[in-house]
Amino acid sequence: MKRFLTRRQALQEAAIGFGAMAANSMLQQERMFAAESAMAKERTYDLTPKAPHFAAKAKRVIFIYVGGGPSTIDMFDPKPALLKYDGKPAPFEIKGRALNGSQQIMSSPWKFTDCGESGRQVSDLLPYFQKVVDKVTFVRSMTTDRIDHSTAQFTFVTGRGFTGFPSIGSWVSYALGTENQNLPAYIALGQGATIGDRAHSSAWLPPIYNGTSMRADAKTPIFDIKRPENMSLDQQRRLLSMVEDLDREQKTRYPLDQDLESRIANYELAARMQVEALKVADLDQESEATRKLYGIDAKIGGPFGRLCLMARRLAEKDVRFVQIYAGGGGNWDTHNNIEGQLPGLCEYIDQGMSGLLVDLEQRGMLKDTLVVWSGEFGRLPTIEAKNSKPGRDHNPYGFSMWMAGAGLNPGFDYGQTDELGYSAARDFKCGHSDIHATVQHLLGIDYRKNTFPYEGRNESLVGVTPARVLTELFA
Amino acid sequence: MFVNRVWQWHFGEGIVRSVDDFGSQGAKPSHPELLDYLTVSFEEHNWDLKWLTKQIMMSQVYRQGSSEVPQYLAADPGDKLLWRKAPLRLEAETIRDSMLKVSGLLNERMFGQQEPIKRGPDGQWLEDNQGSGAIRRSLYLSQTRTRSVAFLHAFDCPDMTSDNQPERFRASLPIQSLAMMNNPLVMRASKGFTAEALEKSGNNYDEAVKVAFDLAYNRPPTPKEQEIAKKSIASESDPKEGLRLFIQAMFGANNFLYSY
Repeated sequence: MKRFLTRRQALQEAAIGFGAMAANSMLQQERMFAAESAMAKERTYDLTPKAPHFAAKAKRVIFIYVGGGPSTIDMFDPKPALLKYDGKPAPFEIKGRALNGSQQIMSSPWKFTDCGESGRQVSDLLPYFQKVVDKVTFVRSMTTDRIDHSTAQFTFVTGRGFTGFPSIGSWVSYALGTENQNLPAYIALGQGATIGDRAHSSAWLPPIYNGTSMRADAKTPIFDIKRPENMSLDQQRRLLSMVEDLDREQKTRYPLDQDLESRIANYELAARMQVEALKVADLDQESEATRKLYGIDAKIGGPFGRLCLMARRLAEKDVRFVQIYAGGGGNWDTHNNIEGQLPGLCEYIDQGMSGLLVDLEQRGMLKDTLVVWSGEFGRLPTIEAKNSKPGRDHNPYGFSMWMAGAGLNPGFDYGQTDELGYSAARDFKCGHSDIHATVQHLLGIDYRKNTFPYEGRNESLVGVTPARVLTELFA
Repeated sequence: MFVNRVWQWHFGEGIVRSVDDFGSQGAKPSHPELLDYLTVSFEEHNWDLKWLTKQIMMSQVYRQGSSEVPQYLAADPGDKLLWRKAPLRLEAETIRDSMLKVSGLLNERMFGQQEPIKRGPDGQWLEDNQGSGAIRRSLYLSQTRTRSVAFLHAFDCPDMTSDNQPERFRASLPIQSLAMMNNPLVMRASKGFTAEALEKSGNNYDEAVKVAFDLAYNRPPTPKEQEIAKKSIASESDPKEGLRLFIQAMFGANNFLYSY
């Protein structure tokens, strides 16, 4: 048999002095990392609550994710200059993705109203939000380096512009676990992200941190949650009891097997989840007044109202991270016919999200719940008119998002865009990584320390992107 | 590296744990001479995968039992030195395919077109021939990046949206429990397996239990296990249903989900 030269031997034999010394110390470090990595894979991961790095303001997050690029300049970032230049070419170059290269400004087809004590202007497309806008904190100088939906959505939820990285809810569950062991820690409601399930995926983090999809459907809120039609509760109890008996019998042969215990525990949890999940999805348990507040019977906004009400119920049960997708009412990506589409889209989310803020506050939950509202980018002030029904193209250079609740200063606006609502003012430019750092900070997590070994480095939600906690937003 | 992968398929862990990272950035091999020997021999045998598989599976180390030896377990809990064939939770496809196989539901036809999937009543993706007909191996399910079969995903099958997962998780999750309790495929398979067991035992229920253990667990039932089965059969007005419930419990137990 021929002698096999190992790579290690080859390296050693070829190494020359100084190179070998440097290689040696690098080898040491890398071996230490490989050992850490291997240890990380062997630890068991669970959802038991874990202490944050420092005192937290928020105990839980409700993240309303508006995939498609909502037109924030038509919703709550009005620009008087648009009226001045309406129909005329922009006074400076609008680069953007502008499919047809148009430089022609289109002012907002809708009126804005001064609202509340903060005097902020909100579009008349959002009458319910107009009444609650004082409760929120705006970030008006958001930017993103991605111009298309998939890449920008991945960026916003995972911190990277491509598939394969864990989402924000997974990182939060990983860091903090959850207080309620009868429900998943990370729950996704609704639909409408271009990237689908990947927007709540744990990717290469331990699977226990994966987002669980739930529907606002009292009958089948989670996959396989419902006992089959032809199985009685008694039969199911006997089934679980037999599984446990078989496992305990197995344990007599393998007394030190850890997996057996955890599997038995998971059956017990699944049984509890069946009850808990079905209960939490049963919106009929809410008072008439509450159901009216969210408008769950409204024609357009009802479905989203249900999602928001479900989110409050989950938050009340201390689910750590609830993600609500806002795409169920149509496509926010209004390249065409913005005048025909945006009113319905706004009506879809208006009452639900506003009712959620009011309800959380009334129940004393707003002070330790963080609500986040954002799309992956905004829309341009210029017209996109392929046919007779004009719309707006993607705007990654400047857009608005808002947050409310724990630790934030309601009524405060951070940053702004230029007079046309095109790009973020230079001194206030921020992006997804700043939001990631800020959200984690409010939860008591040091975003630089919340890491997991992956491919030879300690990865985190923010990664190597420069990030800053936006302390200006805090009360 | 390929040989290490094949080892991983059979033992759950490669001789080098970091299967995609050899050299200074990866983990050290637990048995470097063994890996070298297998690699060179593999090459010498013309890269014949069947030869390599046979070498591994006929080896003493592979054919070891999985019994615990407390002092060995304390010294080497991760079984890095292969003092036994550690029980491993089976991969998603293996669980699904094994369930189908023992229930007589598996269509063993190879190659050809993929099997379509569709959304079930609760919104999850599953095979598109729920009602009738044999079902093929999980390998043939037409999954895409945005459509993954929920049952497989629950058992740590990567959903094709993450990057390549050289090492799968073998997690224990409540959604797996829910699947084994309520998933329609499990219901169907338990019905099928009940029918198979009864047929093979000439409708003798005691014998049917022995057949079930033989097919699913590769061993006879203990007296305690026979007692559990008997009780279930007697607790239903239709003994067949009592046996089906017990068989569904067998699917959900560790003995089925792990290789012992």
